Amino acid sequence: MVNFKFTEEQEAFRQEIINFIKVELSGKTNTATVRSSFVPKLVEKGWLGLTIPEEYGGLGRDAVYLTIFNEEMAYHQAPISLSLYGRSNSVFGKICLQHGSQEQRQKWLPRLAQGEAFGQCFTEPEAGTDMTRIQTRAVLQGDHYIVNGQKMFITTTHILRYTLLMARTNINAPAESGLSMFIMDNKSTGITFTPLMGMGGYRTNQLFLDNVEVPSENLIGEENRGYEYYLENKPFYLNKEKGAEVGALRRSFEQLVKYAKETTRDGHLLANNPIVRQRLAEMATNIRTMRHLTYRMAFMEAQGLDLFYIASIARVFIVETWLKFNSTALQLLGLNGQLQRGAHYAPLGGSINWHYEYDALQYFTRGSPSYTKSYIAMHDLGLPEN
Amino acid sequence: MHFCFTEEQEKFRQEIVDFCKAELQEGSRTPDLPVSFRRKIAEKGWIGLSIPKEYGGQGLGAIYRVIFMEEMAYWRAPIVAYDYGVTMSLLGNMCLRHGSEAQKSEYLPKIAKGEIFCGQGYSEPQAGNDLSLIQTTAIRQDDHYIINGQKMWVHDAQTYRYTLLMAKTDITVPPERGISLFIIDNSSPGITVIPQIAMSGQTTPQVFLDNVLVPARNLLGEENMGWEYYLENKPFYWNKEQGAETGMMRRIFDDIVRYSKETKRNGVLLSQSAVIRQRLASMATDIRALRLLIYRMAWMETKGFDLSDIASLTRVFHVEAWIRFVNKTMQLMGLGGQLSRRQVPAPLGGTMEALYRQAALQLMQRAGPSYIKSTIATHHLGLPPAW
Repeated sequence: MVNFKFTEEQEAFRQEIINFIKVELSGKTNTATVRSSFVPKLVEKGWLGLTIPEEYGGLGRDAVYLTIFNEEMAYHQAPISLSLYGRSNSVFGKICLQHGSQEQRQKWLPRLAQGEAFGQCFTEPEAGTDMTRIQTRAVLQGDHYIVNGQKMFITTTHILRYTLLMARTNINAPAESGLSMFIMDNKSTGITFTPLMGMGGYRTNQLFLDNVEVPSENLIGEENRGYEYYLENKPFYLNKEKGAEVGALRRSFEQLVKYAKETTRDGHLLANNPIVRQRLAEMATNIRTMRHLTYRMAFMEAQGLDLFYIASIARVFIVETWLKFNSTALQLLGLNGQLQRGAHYAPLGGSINWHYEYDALQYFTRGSPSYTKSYIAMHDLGLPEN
Repeated sequence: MHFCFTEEQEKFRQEIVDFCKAELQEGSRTPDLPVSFRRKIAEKGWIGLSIPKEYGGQGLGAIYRVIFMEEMAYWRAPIVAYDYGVTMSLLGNMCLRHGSEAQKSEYLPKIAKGEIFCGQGYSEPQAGNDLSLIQTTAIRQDDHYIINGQKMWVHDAQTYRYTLLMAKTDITVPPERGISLFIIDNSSPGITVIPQIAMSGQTTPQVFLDNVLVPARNLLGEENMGWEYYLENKPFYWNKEQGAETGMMRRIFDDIVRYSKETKRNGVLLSQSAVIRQRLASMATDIRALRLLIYRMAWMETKGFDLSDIASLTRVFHVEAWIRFVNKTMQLMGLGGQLSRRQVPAPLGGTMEALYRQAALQLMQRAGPSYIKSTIATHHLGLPPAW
């Protein structure tokens, strides 16, 4: 039977989060002290290890709970980087849990639950959407792998200690069969990195790996199966925000509706303008649909169902809704929309133009609509390879 | 029907192309280049192409102006074509049509030499699309007007010498009456310019006018006729880029086509991807169509035809094509597209990153597609006003 309702426990959980945020954040400005004390409180609650099994220091809840958590944190604009923890959980956490040795799980998963985030170091100058083109080599010597190569667009090297690395361990096998995954310490000798400054002030890094030693105990799962793990993990990686984007958009949308109700332009309330009304209604439709897709996916994950198809479809819909929201919202705000945070006339705290610049990134990533569509065409619709 | 450039026009274009090739050779782009380049084009008379000879110009038609702007943008000449476009389509045009003889002889020769620039001081916090709601007042006292009020989005107040300012000279009449235009020197006492930080790292100033004294001879045309002048001039102002937009797009497009012929992604040339080929072809279609519209408009201007209809359609097409263009270009460049200038691996020298961000502004302005579409509906299609 189809049931579209949250359980009582899930509703109670959401309410608990909302109450928690009220106590911790209401009336407080977003200062460095508030930010730095907030994450430890989440750790205390166990919420950063929501989906990690209890034996590894987590709460052992399912993906629906994680989605509720992310949605409410984003909606209430809590001072926590959900994308950092989201990526950490959906990539490092998942792969470690699925394929890590018992020792690795015992060593790393509790750290995740304690609020440590883990980066991802896959992309190279010649390997973007197609990971099989990775050229970085990892050669076993005694109890270490020696890693050499170059990585691009690595988001977290300058802020996080550990990264999930993908490198080639067998150059004789077909391209997709010689890759392996490692846990790499960003502080290892031989790693140099320089910043790449992107849109909206977003920083990524270019990494050079020069005879970097990675202990062989840090190989995840089996050698030469890294690409398999990557493919298996893709649905999770594609939707790593897991509800955060829904929460953020719901919040921005509410502010936009309020703005339309309160703002007079050329003598008329924006809310009375038929074009504005159409656009707002369209946004509401898309955000609601996006929320359904997100929870449907979480539900399927909790049931252990195959996520491949829904993950791609959801991703396309989410990104397209998201980018369209930014552009439509900017138009609705009129010229004031260009003003940044801090400017007297900046509507919605200047947040929309920042999003417009920053979110353009979604066009290019491995989860971009065009790439995901080509993936849907090939894998889900069974169209022949190009 | 005749869709060809004349021989003289073709020759003129070639002259500009040759000039740009000679002046902008590799290694010539030194910090001193912009100054000497501007001097040379002023000497050639190219800045005042469409200004009559008696006011220091060349007395050539609008098509020459558009050819000049298009080629300057295509060759990435070290001038801000926008500065010339905005000055010519605002102060230049208005002065020619409604200025006193004294104003014409004072301002037009300087515009023709590229010595002065003039921006627009129309918008206010409560008067955006509908300028009839402006509240800034200009009260006549002897041989001066005293101006008080607040203006928004006066982009050029920090860098240009002059602003064409819109103010109420009669507050007792209905909103669109009682409006006048003034040529204001931005360094006048009582003017305070406060920059606001805007998207893509730009600033856009608010301007406060506190008992600013403006000589009565700086009133443009007749008192209380400002609204009529504004409406009449709208077609020119909307398309102030005057060909620079097609020149820039043509250049980026040439670069993009080359990039996709040379760049392999996942082992295959971008130019061999069926999706990318479709996108490039639709970009080419947009550029060609836009270019035709722009030259058609210039041709109509030389014939003295009413431009309000074609100017609206062209502006809508221009902005929408430009937004499609930057979006497609960004997607085509992949992750490298996010990198700004000076980042070594940035494709196309990192130009698209900033252009993508700046493009959003076009959606919000008075000349934005949604506003213009509503004027097309009312004024050109004769639909009743929206409720």
